[in-house]
Amino acid sequence: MNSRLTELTLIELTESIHRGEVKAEEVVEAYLSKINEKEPQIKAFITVTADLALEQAKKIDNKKEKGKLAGAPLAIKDNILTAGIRTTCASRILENYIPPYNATVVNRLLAEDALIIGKTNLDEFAMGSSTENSAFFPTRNPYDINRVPGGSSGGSAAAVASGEAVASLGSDTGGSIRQPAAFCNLVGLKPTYGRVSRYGLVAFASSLDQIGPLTRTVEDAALMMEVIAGYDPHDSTSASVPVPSYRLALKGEKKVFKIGYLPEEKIKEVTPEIKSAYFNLLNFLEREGFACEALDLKLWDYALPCYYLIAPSEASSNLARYDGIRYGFRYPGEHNLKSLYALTRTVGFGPEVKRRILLGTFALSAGYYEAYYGRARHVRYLIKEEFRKTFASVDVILTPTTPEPPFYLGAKVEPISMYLSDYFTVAANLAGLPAISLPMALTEKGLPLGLQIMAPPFEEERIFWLAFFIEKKVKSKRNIFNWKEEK
Amino acid sequence: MSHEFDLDYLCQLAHLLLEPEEKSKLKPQLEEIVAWVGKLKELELAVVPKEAEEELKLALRPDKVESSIPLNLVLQAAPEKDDFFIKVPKVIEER
Repeated sequence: MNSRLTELTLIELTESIHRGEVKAEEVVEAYLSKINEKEPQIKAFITVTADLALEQAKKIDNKKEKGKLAGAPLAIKDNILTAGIRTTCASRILENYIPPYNATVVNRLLAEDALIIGKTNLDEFAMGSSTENSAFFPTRNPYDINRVPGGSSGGSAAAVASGEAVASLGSDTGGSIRQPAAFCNLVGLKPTYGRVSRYGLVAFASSLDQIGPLTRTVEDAALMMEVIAGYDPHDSTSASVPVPSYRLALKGEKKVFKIGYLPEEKIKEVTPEIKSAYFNLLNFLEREGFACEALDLKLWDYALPCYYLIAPSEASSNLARYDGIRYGFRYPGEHNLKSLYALTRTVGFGPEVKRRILLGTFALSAGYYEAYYGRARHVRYLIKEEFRKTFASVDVILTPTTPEPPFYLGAKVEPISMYLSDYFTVAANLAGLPAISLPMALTEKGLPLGLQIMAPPFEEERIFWLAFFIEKKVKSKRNIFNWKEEK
Repeated sequence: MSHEFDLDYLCQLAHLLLEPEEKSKLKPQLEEIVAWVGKLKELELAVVPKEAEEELKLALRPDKVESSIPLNLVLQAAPEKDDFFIKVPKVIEER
């Protein structure tokens, strides 16, 4: 029984707790034993909160009225603040930081009786696509431990894929939920900008960052979104748009009729297996009665360079707060103020973070501001406009999530080669669109490939509906290590 | 425009100290990235219409005083403290 508990979906698990078939405490024990078994290899967690989870579970077992997420052991990316639980951003500069308050999303999960089982590894400050930029250790892909789980929410993805958590939260600035979801055979949603509160998410690039769920099924993601989405007075960029029942939407009436896709020349850089899975899927959808239209997105190839100016610029400004004064690491000894800032930051930040701070500092510096940051903002606006016009003629846009299957640890040494991992994902962040990654197929070696579905702002319901439709066709991944793609 | 930039100056702006070997590794990488993002220069940009500037509607919260995070919790996160003050290095230096 116990080992089966860690194979249930979020919906199945919470339903059996509601029906009284299983206790939250048993669930936590099953998950903790899975963590003990898997963690030495996978290393998904920076902090495991075993005692806290058990204590929460006992309380929930004694409650008569249980919340929507009752007894579900969730993993939280370690850049989302948890009161009293160390939150490191996988950085030396926050290695011992214990936040005094919870992120809004954490409060919302706890209000629905979810359990926090631990804080997951990431690329330092969410800057990276492999989780190798963590200051502590890399996380490994449960499908092949010599490969990366993706990033930056690699720990959140690996934890769910290896059965160490039933679902998790990640953050997505340029693909950091969707790319690891694709690499670990999960569903990962980046919501519309403003759909989910960012209060308590450690800022990387504030105009791009969004928190979202990583789950085993589309329906699980819909449930998570019902809990975390909505206006928050603490985040003035959160939208006061009502939150629909996403679970009703995915089983409800048909919401997608016309599908836009990227023609062959836009995806020439992807591996043959991804190309064939993508076009096979499109053919299948056409046979199912969807109208499929090849899109001529003229600005698509400009999204990545645009992103790599906007995101580092905002990061260089946001990360100026780490100065060793009010919280976090402070370089020891007697120094004057300026030296203290510089020593603290030099020792506290890792190489990729420094690279991006310097790139952003350059793009924002006098004499270069208009030519780089200013131009990127302008292009961002044009990209947004191009999507707005495109969505007048199609309901959703489908792309592969990544250009290649999970790569080997250490395979990408040059920064730009790592940045190219985000080729399909950054556009949604620049335009503020919702986008999901869901399992598309497995390669011959058994490596997961993801499909991305993008929709206009606040049209998550379309995404969920189509993702659920496609998920039913791609064979059930109940047994997460042993499912095969359907021919 | 040349991508030759002054790494020492950028480090000074960003409050970072880099060892010479770090600099010699970073400089070509940054130059390569700057050249790569320079792809945006291919685009002819017209003037952005004014209405595009104000797209994000900020949701304002009610103008009501709310309690803030308790001082003792904030101070717990401080690297050095004295009573209810955060200790900082001397700002004014002797001549």
